[in-house]
Amino acid sequence: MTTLPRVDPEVAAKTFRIHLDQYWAARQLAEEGWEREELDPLHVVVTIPAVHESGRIDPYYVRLGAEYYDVYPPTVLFVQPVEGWPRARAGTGWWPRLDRPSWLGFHDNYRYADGSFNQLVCFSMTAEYYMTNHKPTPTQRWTQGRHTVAATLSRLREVLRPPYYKEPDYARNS
Amino acid sequence: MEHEKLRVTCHNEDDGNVSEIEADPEDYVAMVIAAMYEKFHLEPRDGDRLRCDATGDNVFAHSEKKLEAYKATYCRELVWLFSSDQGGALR
Repeated sequence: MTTLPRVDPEVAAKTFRIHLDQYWAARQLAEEGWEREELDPLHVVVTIPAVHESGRIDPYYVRLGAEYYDVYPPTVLFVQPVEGWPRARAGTGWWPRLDRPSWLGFHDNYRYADGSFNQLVCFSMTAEYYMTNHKPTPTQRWTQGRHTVAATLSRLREVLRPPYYKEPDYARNS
Repeated sequence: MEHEKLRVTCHNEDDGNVSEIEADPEDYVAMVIAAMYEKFHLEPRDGDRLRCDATGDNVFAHSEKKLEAYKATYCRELVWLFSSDQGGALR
C-alpha cells in the first residue's frame, strides 16, 4: 500500500467538519434524507439515500475518514448498518449495483500494493485511490484548496441516482 | 420594456460553494458560464462538467442558446452543478 502522509488530527478534524457542514448546508442534504453519525472527530458515517429510477429510495452507509485530510481526500468505505459499521460486501444489500460511469469503480476486494485486500471506491476524490498507485492527470488530481469533501460526496450522490444507480446488489428484507 | 432578470444558482461540487448569478433573459448561456467561472475564481479546464441539477443535462452543450430559451426547454429551475475532472478505474 502506498503510504499517505498523516496530518495533524486536530486540524484535519476541524477542517473536515467545516467542509462537511458547508456542503451539507449548500445542498440542503438533510431535506433529501441524508444523515450523518459522528464516530469520532476523524470519522463519520453518512447515510446517502440512493434514488432508483422508479423513485424508490435505498439508503447506503458510507464511512468517511479524515486521516489525511485535506492534503488528500477522505477515506471512503461502504459499510453495513450494524454495530461497529463493518465493511459492506458485494452480493449484499448494502452494496450498490451501478451502471457506472467511466470515471468510477467499486471494487469489493481490491489487492493493495502491500498484498492486503480491501474495498476500493475508485475515483480520484477518495484517499484509497492514491494508496493504490493510480495515476491521475493534473486536472483529475485532488488539490488541497480546490477540492473538499464536497467533491467526494457530490460524486457519490451523482452515481447513486439515475441513470447510474440500479439497485442493491442483493434484495433487502425490508 | 426591460426584461426581468433570471437567476442561475451554481453549485461548485468540488468545494461546496454556491453562487447566484443574475442575467438578462437575452444573454447567452455562455455568458452565464463565464460569470460562473469568475465567481468561483476558476479557469476552464479539460474535463470540467456543468450539469442541470434537475435533468443532468450538459449545460456546455447549450452555450450558444439564449438563457430564456434554454430555461424553457432544458433546465427550468436554472440550478447548475459544476464539477472538475476526476479520474477513475479506467484511467
